[in-house]
Amino acid sequence: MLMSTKSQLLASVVLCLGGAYIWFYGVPFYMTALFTIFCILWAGMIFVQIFKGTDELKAAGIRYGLAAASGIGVPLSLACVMLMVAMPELQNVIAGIAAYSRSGIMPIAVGFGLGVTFMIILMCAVFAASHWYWWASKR
Amino acid sequence: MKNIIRVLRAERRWTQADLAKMLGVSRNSVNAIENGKYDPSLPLAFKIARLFERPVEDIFEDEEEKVIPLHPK
Repeated sequence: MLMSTKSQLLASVVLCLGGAYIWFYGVPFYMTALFTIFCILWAGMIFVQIFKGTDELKAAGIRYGLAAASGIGVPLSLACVMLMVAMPELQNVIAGIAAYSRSGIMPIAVGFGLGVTFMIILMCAVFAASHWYWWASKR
Repeated sequence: MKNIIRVLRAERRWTQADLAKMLGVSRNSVNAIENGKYDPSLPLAFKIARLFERPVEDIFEDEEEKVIPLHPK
């Protein structure tokens, strides 16, 4: 593996924050396109590492983390959406954050982008917690 | 799954790092397998068996209950 799992996780979160920066401050379109391609390649590299180029124990740990991230992270994200729907105050906060954007993108679109970013960061957090738990159980 | 890898390794005076290098896995993997915390894949189990020149079933002990066939012979 080129990078440790922790480094990859940190890098994924940094990429998400980079995406959030684009939503907020806007950058030339070609930079957005390059960033998107880089993110797709990054996600592909992590996925490929599960099957190649890594120790089978580490690969098993990553699979466990990814399963938890999707199995727990996705319902958790949906629960957050439901919470937002149920709480107008929360909607106002999110709308306020989206309105702060200086990117020139419509606030509603910024809100969508931030929602996707939030979901990815949440899934990364669930991955980190479950990955840590898996390794603790192997010691 | 219980195993006797630690015993076999000690007989040959190999460290976990030595065994890990020979098997092409990390030292953490060897440690987890020896402690029964991780069951190796079939290819790795056979690799271990070839390295120690023992049958796989001599090295690994299945702790599951005995399987009773549906239709006895």
